[in-house]
Amino acid sequence: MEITIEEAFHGTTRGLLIGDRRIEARIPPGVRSGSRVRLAGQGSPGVAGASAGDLYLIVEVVPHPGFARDGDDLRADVRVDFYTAAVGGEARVPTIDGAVTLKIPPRTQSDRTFRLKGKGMPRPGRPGERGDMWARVRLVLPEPMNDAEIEGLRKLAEARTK
Amino acid sequence: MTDGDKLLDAEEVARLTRIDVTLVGHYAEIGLVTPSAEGYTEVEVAELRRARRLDEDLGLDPEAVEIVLRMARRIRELSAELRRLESERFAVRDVPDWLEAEWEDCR
Repeated sequence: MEITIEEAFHGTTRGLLIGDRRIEARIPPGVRSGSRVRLAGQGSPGVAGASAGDLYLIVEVVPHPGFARDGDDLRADVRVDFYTAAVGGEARVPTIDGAVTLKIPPRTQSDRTFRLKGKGMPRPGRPGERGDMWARVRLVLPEPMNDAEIEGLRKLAEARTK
Repeated sequence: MTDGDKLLDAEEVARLTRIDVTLVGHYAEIGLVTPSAEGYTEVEVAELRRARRLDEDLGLDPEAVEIVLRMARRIRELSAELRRLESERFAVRDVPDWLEAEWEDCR
């Protein structure tokens, strides 16, 4: 059964049709790909009136295009324009439960990684606990940049090499 | 946790999958499943169920079923590999210096 990472975050309930029975499968928060969710007594009926076995669902969590999952941690790249990275500022970081504003200190180099503690996936079986989110900075040019800006930067570049 | 390690013999497999026991044997002969002397695994039982659906719904003969399921398995393997490689993009091998983030929710 495939679920999205948002469903894996919140936990979800899915209705399933097994033969002619409709059952509700509760998927707990924090489930990982390949996890088995056990639905007691929903398996095939036993032989000669014995009680039914269990149904095991194998859950597949569809990867999110913006995050990578590493156990209970999430990783993402954050685009930061080079002005903000150099002089300091803020950057918007999407997380699994809403965007946050990340403070970027001055002189932040590309590939610098920030840890957002507790913004990862829920830890299975440990309610209230979550992994962390790791945000890696990718420096980009701000867009748009006009000619005057480029000219000003050219002068700064020349001043560096003197 | 589970009886996933339990091996089943051909009769039990035939009963669970509702495939004739001789057909189960034939599938083993052509290599669709590769049971050990002790029996069939749960994964193989699942594969045999898929085989029965192809047989019944599409009318494929056992050799065709074997080809289709082999390709389906390969597709699953490749998809998993692709997902793994895509998330490797983000892999942070050893981050000697990461900073504790200062952040707040966007409102």
